[in-house]
Order: sequence, then C-alpha cells, then structure tokens
Amino acid sequence: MQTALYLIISIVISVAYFQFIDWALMDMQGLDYFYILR
Amino acid sequence: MGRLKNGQARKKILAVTGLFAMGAMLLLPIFVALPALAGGGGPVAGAPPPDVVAAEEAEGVEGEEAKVEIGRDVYYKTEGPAVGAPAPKTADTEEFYPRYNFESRVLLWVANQQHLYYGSFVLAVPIFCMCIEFAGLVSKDRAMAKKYDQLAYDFVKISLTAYSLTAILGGILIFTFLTLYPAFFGYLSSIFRPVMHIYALMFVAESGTLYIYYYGWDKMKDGLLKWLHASMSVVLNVIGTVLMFLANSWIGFMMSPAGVDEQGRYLGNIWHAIHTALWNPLNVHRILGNMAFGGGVVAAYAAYRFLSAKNDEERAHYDWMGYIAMSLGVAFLIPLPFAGYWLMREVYAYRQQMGITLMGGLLAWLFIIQATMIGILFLTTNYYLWQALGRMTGGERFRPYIKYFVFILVVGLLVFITPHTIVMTPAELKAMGGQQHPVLGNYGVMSAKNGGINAIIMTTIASFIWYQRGNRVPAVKWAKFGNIFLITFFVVAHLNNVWVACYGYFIPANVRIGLSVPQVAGTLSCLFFGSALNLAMLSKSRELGPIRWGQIAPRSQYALIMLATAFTWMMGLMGYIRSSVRLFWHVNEIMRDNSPWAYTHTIGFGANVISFNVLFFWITILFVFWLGALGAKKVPVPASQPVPGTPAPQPATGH
Amino acid sequence: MVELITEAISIGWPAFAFLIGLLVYFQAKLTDPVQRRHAAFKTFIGVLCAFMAFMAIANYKNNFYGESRLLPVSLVMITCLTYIMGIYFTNIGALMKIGGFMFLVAAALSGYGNWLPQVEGGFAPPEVKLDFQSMTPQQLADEGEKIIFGGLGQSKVQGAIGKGQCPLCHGFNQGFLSERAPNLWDIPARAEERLKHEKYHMKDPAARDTVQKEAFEGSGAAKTGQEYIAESHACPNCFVVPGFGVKGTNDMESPMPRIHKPPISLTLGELAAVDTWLYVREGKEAPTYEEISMSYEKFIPEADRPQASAGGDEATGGVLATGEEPITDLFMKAGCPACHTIPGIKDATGKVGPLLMEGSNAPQRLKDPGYNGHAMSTREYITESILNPSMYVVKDFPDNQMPKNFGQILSAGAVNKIVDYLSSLKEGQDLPSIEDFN
Repeated sequence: MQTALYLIISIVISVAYFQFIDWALMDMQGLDYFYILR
Repeated sequence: MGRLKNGQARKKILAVTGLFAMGAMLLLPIFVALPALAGGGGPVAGAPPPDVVAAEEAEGVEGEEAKVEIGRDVYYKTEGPAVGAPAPKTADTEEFYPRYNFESRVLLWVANQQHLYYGSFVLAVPIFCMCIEFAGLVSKDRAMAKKYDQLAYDFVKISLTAYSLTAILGGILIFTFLTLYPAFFGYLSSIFRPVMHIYALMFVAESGTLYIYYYGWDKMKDGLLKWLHASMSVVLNVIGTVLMFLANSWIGFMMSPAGVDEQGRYLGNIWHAIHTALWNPLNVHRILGNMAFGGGVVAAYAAYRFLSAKNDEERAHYDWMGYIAMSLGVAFLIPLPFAGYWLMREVYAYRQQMGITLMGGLLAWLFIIQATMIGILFLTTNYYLWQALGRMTGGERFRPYIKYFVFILVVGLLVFITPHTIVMTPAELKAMGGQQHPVLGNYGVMSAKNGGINAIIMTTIASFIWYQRGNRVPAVKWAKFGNIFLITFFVVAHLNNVWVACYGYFIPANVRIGLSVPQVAGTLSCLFFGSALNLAMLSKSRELGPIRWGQIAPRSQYALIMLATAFTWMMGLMGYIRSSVRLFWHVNEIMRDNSPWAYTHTIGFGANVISFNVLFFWITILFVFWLGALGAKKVPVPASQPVPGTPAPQPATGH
Repeated sequence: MVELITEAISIGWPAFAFLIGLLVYFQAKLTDPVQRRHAAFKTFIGVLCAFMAFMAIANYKNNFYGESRLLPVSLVMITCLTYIMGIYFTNIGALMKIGGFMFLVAAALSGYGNWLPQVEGGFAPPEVKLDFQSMTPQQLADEGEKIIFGGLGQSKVQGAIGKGQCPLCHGFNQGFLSERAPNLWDIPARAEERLKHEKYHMKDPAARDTVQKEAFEGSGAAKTGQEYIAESHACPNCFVVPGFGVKGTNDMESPMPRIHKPPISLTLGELAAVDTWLYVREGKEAPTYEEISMSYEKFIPEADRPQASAGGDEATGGVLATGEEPITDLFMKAGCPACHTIPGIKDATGKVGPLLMEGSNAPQRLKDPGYNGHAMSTREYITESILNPSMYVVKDFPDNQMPKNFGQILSAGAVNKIVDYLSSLKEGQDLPSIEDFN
C-alpha cells in the first residue's frame, strides 16, 4: 500500500518535472512544444 | 589547537606566495616579450622593423613611407603595415616539395600524430597528478593520503620517460617539416618566429619544473615543503597548458588565418595571428581530449601491471589505479561532446563551407565512424563497471538487470549511428529511389539520434549509481521512498527521452531542432540529480562487505585496454578530420598546397594510417611500460608498504 | 600467395637467419636433451611468428595504395602471432596479450573504415586566374570554346555544354537543328546584316517594338557587327530575331537570359573569349580584346559587370551545390533560372522551360494519361523531373533541352531543398517565405 503510494507520488513528480523542462526549454527557444495539438 | 591551525594557515600562505613567485618568474619571458610583439616591431620580429619605425615616425611626412604598404587583416579587418613577405606560391617541384619515394604527407602525418600522442599524454598526466596529490593532501585518512600520494608518484614516473620521447619526436617532427615542406614551414615560422622562441623557452621551463617535481618528491614530503611541492604541480600545469595553447595557435592559424592580409603578408600584430577564430574552441577541446586520453593511457598501464602482477598486493594496487584512471578519463569524456559542439559551431560561423565539408560533405562518413566509436566507448565503460561490481560483496544483486541495460545500450547505439542524409552519387541516388533510404531514412532524424546517445549516457549514469551502491545499502529513514523515486525518475527520464525522440517525426524540422535541448537537459538531470540523490541516500549506509580490490575478472582489464585503444584511435580520427578539412590549403585561403598529395584520401586509407599510428604509439609506450617494470624489479620498492588493497574498511572517497 | 611468401622472405631474411642461427647455437650449447628440445621448440615458435609478422608486413606493403581494405588482414595476422607468442613465452605473456588485443581492436576499426563507402576527395581545381587581356587570339578562342562547350575540341560533340550554357538553345554548326534560338554559324557576317534589319532601328532604338528597347537607358544601339553581338548578350530583348521570341509575345520578348547576370554571370573577359571563338573558328580575324571589351562596356553598366572569382571555392568534391546554401543561391548555382521562371526567386524569369508552379502543376501532370513516370506524389514528380527530365516532357516544350546531369552536380540535400521549395508553390496562394528555406 505504502509502496503504491510512493510510486504514484514519484510518477507524478517525475512526469511533471520532465514535461515541465520539455515545455520550458522549448519555450525559451521560442518554439512551441505543443505544436501537434494546434 | 588554535596555534596549530595558525601555523598551518601561515604555511599555506607561504606556499601560495612561493607558488606565485615561481609562476611569475617562469612566465616572465612572455610578459617581457609581449609588448614588443604586440607593437609588431622589436628586435625579435625580424628584418623590416626599421621600415615600420620609419613609417610610424614619418606619419606626417608623406612620401617617406612609400616602402611599407598597408594591408588589411583577412579576419579582423583591421589595417596594418604589411611587414611580412606574401605567402609563397608553390609548384609541384622538388624545390618546394622535396620528397622521398613515398607520400610526404603520410610521413608528416605520422610524425605529427606521434608527437601529439606523447605530447598530450605528458600534458595530461601532470593534471591527474595535481588532482591526486591534492586529494592526498586534504584527505584526513592517513593511510588513504599515503595511497594517493604513491599513486600520484607512479603517474609522474610513467610520464617521465614519455617526456623525453615527446621532445625527441618533436625534433623529428621539425626535421620532417624542414626537409619535406620547407616552403610552407618557412612561411609559418616567418610569422610565428617569436612565438616559436617562447615555445622553446617554455619547454625548458616545463622540463626544469618536471624534474624538480619528480626528483624532489621524497625530499619535499612534509609540511610546508609538501605544499610547495603540490603547488609546483600547478605551475607545471600552467606551463604545459600555455605550451599547448601556443602550439594550437599554429593549427588555428592554418585553419582560420588571421593577422595577415589576403596575400598572406604578416601585418605586425602577433596577437591577431595567435587569437584566430578557432583558437579558443580548439584549446578547450584539446585540453579535455588530452585528459580523457591521458586517463586511458594510465588505465592501460594499470591494466598491464594488473595482468602481469605476481601477487595479490600488486593486483590490488593496480586494480585501484586502473579504476581511478578510468573514472578520470570518463569524467573528461562526458563534457567533450559539448566542447566539440562549440568548436563545430565556430567552424560554421567561420566558414559555412568548412562546416558542410565536415558534417554533410566529403568527411561526413568519418563522423559516422566517430559516432560508432562514442557508442563503443560508453558500452565499454558500462561493461567495466558491471565487471567491477564483481569485486564487491553485494554487487551480485544487480546482475539480473544487466541484460536490460545491454538491450537499451544496443538499441540506443543502433539508432545513434543511423545516417539521415549524406552526399551520394547519382547512381546511388537512383538506386535508393530518392534522397533518403526508403527504410533507414525514416530513422535517421536528428531528435531520434540524440535520443539514442542520450539513452546510452543515461544508462551509463545508472551503471555508475549501481557501482556506488555496490557493497552498500542506504540506511537513511526515507530509503524506501528514495529508492522508488530514483528508479521512477530514471524510468520516466528514459520514457521522456523516447517520447521526445519520436515526437520529432510529427513536427516540422524547424521545431524539431529545438528538441535536442530538453533531451540534453533530461540527461543532465539524471547526471546531477540522480548522483546527488544517490549520494544523499548513501550518506548513512550499511556495508555488506569490503571492496576486494584486485578480485576482478581479468577481462575487465581488457575493457580498460579497449577504452584506451579506442580513445587513441578516436583522437587520431578526429585529428585527421580536423586537418583534412582544409582540403588543398596549407593555410586556408592564403597558401595553397600544390604538392601531389593535395587531395583527400579514401576513408579506408585514412583508417589504415590511423591504425598504424595508434599501434605504433602503443607498441612504443608498452615498451616504455615494460622498461619501467624492468627497473622496478631490480630495485625492490618498499614504498608500497601501506598496501592499498588491505581489506580494512575504506572510506568511499575513492569512488 | 607465393608472391607474398617471397616478399616476406626477402624483407625478413636477416631475422630468419638470426633465429635459425639461434637454433643451431642452442643445439650445440645445450646438453640436457629436455632443455634442448624445449629451446628448439621455442625457437621454432619464434620462427613461425616472425614468418607471420613478415607476411603481414609484406601484405601491408603490397596493398598500401591499391587495396587498402586488405590491410586490416595484416593486423589480424599480427594479433594471432602475438597470442601464440603469449602462450609460449609466459614471461612476456601479459604484454603480448595486451598488444594482440590492441591489434585486434585496431583491425576492427580499420576494417570498419574500409567497409564504409569509399569517398575520395579529388584534386583541387587548378589555380588559374585567367588573364584574358594578354592572351593571343587563339588562346582566347580556346578559352571561349571551353566556356561554351566545357572543353577544347568539344564544339563538334553533340550535347557538350559548358559554363555559358549556350548550346542548350543555340546550334553552332552549319545545318545543325536550332529550334529554340538562331543557329550561330556565320554569325560574324550575319551580325552586320542584322543591323540593317527593319525591326532593328539602329538610328532610333526607341522605335523598337520589343519589351526592352535599350540595354540600359542611354546605351543606344549597336553600330558594328561586334557591338551587335555584345548587345545580344547583354540585352537579348533589344532585338528578337523573327520566329525566336517567347511564344505568344509576337517576337517582342526573347527567351534568352542576360549572360552577364546570374546564374551564368560571364565576365567581360569571358565574353571576349566567347566572341573571339566565334570569329576564329570560321577563320576570320577577330577584333582585338580591347575592341571587344569596349563593345561590352557600351551595353553593360559598370555596376553590372561580374567580377572574376578567385577560383577554388567550388571544390566540394565535384558537387556543385550541397543544399546548405540559401534557396536563391541554390537555384542560381544549379542554373535553373536561365530557363525557368520560378515564382518568388529574384531574376528567375527564364522562358525556355515551363513555369515551375509545381505545387499546382505536378498533380495535374500526374493525372495526364501521357505520364509514364514512376512518381506517385508531387515531391516524387519534381525529383523525377530534375534527375530524369525526359521521363515526362511538358506539352509545347522540346525534349532533351534540360541537362540530365543534375543527379551528379547536386547533392541529395540540394535536390531535397529544391523539391521542398517548388512543391510549396501553388497557384492562387501566397508565395512561401524565402527565409524558411535558407
């Protein structure tokens, strides 16, 4: 139970972190990370 | 207590003062020479100064200065008196290109490469020495300190024989230049004459420092003297680095000339001729490359001593030495691609055409070889680390997972080396039915290739983390969460990497090129955050058992030799690429190469000559190692008394 | 194989002699039979390894220039012999094994290098900065022939074409078919007659009915035969020979590009060479270099005269364009604008070939029942048309007009870029931004 909780927290943090740097670093170059959605 | 500290502080201050005094004395010749050089005149700069002086003085009086023409710098666009002679126009005759019944260029290539190998080795080793000696100095553990000190001493011992060989090879190189390319060398030395003199002086200074450093090791082993001794290694490295920078300026001048006008006439400003467009990128790239290379050579030496060791003690010491050397080498290998990227960007900025010849034209296949070699280096590093887990109790915990790592590495490598577009002949173009391969062309997209190499590097980082944990289990309170988080972080990093790599296929090229930044950032996150988190978790840890130095499979040592050979080969390859990008110029766009060898060889021929150079270097240096071992046998060294491999619990500083 | 063995023996005989001497010495010196046998065996191994080593060296030597892919074999041979040595000479075993391993690694890398496609960078183009001014008429004429046909003696060869690209449209020999532009046989004599043509208006160029009346404002019309030739090069529109105008313009506009303008950009010296050839080949006396230069200076304003390039900047291994240059430069280098009008590209107003509105044209062409090519898409069609122009010839345009060697002079990247640009041109839509293709 604890393991599952830890796992979920970890996944949420990691995914959020990587998506954030993907977006932020593309944005810094003036590029659109979510290009495909538009 | 306070008194003791006071004393130590005073010693340190004295040492630092001494160091500065020594450095200042050694660098004095340059400072004295610089103003004279920058002025373009002075007695060193050669024949025409009277004219220059006359021209400067007679600025008001017209007509007097008719003798000195004003030339325009090809790079800096400044104007200056054309004091030098124009670059000679050569022709394919014995006068300009005296020759044996063999290709002069290959002879020069070999002479240059051998000098360079030895040169970079003797420049890199003192840097390691410096690091290790300081590590020993600041280490609180006496046994460990002694061990480090002995290691640093061993390093210098290896480089000493190599040092005299470097000088000999330098002499051979100059003779080769003078006899086979007199016109070109004459031109180059007419511009760099003062620099060459300084170079020679620096070489003398370097030798002096090195000999004092080596022979004074035992005399200067305590207190203030030890600090002074360690400081001397700094001076040694400063001189060595300046030496290399000066030598780089000649190469930089050949690739991207400055300080001369269009006809190649020297304009009197030596700083312009030294500080060319590619000088600094070359400097940085070469320092890092030298260190990686030096690490490789020392690791190979350790491997040799390990494999020929007669007892466990020796084996333990050399196992440890090999590990340290390998770690240092790889540590400098990791930033190397970034320096290479900078160099490449500057090449493109200097001449677009040059960049294209390198990356998309004539020499592009050589970069495919380079990509393969980078992959091999990382694979070998991983292999060594997995083998090294074997000498730790508890290392076997990781064994079942190695196969998954191998899978990621192989897939990453295959993606990484897939080319996208490349210059083709029309027949090839027609045979392939388009500009890209019908199948592979789809995979060679840049973001995917970056994904490949990033996957490899991240896996290597994970292997390092395994290795750090080899015989230890984290005992901090949050260990469970930490473990789960670390694993998740790496898995998500890999998934993100793959996602970005694939995402590149669905967006246009101008957006796609931006993806490499988040990819690299992901890898760096793993490197810094992953290592930091791991170290934090291990700050309180439970040991499963000691590290059994020396108890490692011999095949791991072959991995070290593989690393060393591959480093050497890659260095030869990149040097070949860097040199041949000038195509048919001695000095790019200034002095043409009109010898019969002013064309670019096939890749295969180049690869063979590189192999020859690599093997020649290794045969000679193995001979040097063998000589060293021979000498050591005659004089039994009692110095290795604090046996490095003692199974006493050891602090983790070595990792 | 026999050669290799002979070569190995001829290089290595001192070593063999020494080793055999050693063998004899051991036999004589050692008394203990076990020791003797041992020594004999070791020397035998030594001889064997030395033989292998010299075989490897001989192989290296023989194939150094010719078959460089055979050289890694030598390295593998040396690996084998070091391992054999390593087994029997245990005191240097570690050294031998390490050395052998290094040879193996080097062999693998060398082999890899040799396995990849072998590209060799040819020699640089010879450094010739032609000094047209000081040439004899014959030398000038030779240079002219090179500019027109690409080489000396090429004027009689069908399809030969040089930097000037003239034979794309003009016939040069008597009786040669010359549909698109006048045959230039006998041009020195005919030039004089053209001046008297009713449409030429030598006295009053303003009365001409063509789209351009003078080469530049105030230049006036030609007064001599040579000036007529110069004017035709500098201002093809000034006078259009009846029947050779752009279709549908009633001979008011010429399909010929201005020769001093990109992409052909001949310098005045080169033009003088071309003209001299036109005279010399018919056995006529050519005007002097100065006279020809003067005639061009009359029709080409100073600012428009191309400068002679230093040469040597086109040494990318025979590839004319690599695809890294901006799109406009790429088109100019490839020479497309000489014959084609390409929307959005400055100076690309050629009339010899079709308008390259390929985003709209290609889909229609693919639907044409007469289309027999292999292309399935717009991009494929354009690529095919560049690499293999005769696969489909647009109606009203002649076949075999477009050069067929673009596959050789353009890199794949360049073709790709051209295709990218052309496929983005669609009728009724805004032109694509040039910056996107730079």
